[in-house]
Amino acid sequence: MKKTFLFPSYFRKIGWIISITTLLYFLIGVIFFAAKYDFNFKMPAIVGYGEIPFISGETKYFILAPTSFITTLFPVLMIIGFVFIAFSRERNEDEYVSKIRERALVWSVLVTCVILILSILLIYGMTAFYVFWFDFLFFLLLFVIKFRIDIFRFNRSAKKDEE
Amino acid sequence: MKNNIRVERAILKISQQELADRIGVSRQTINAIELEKYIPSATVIMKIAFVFGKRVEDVFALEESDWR
Repeated sequence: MKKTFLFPSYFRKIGWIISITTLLYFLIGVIFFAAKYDFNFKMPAIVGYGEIPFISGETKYFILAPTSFITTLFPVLMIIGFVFIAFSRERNEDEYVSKIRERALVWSVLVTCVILILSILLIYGMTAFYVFWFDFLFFLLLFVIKFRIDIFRFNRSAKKDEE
Repeated sequence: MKNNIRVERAILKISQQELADRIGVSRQTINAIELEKYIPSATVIMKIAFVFGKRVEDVFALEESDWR
C-alpha cells in the first residue's frame, strides 16, 4: 500500500529552529522595538497595490509590490516551520502512529473551523485579514500540540506494561 | 476485537519488543493491540499470526460490538 508522504524525522528539529527564531524575532524586534525591525521590501506579485498603506492604493497586476516582514516573511516562515514540525516522521513511525496523527488532524480541523466561524462573525476590517492568517497558524499549532500530547501518552502507556 | 497475543507470546517466550521487531511496528503498538485499545491492519494481523505459526482466527476473534 502506498504510504502517506512525511518529511524525514530530522526536519522536526529544523522546523522548531525556523519557527522559534521567527517568533522570537517577531516578539522581540517588532513588538518591543515598536516596529523598527519590521523592514520593508518588494516582492513580485500577481495582484497588489503600488504603495503602502495598501488599503488606499489602486489594485494593480504583475507588479513589484511593497510589503513588510510581518505581512509576508513572518507567516511564510511560521507555516514552513510548523509544517516541518507537524509532518515529520516519528522515530517509531508505524500504523498506530498514523492513526494518532489522523485523529489529531480531524480534531484540530474541527476546532479550527469553530474558531474560524467565530472570527468571521466577530472580527471585521483590517484586523480580520491578520486574524485569518493567524487562524491557519493556529490550526497547525493546535495539531502539533494535540499530536505531541497523544504521542507522549502513547509512549508512556507502554512503559509500565513490558514484562 | 479480542486477541490472545499475550498468551501466545508467553508460549513462545518472546517479549513485546521481539514481536514488534519481527513484525516491523513499535513495542507501544503491540502493547496497544494486546490491551485491545487498537485494532491493527490486516497486514499486521496476518504477520502476528504468522510469527505465532497459527491461523488468524486462532489469535484474533470478533466480538459482538464489531458487528454494530
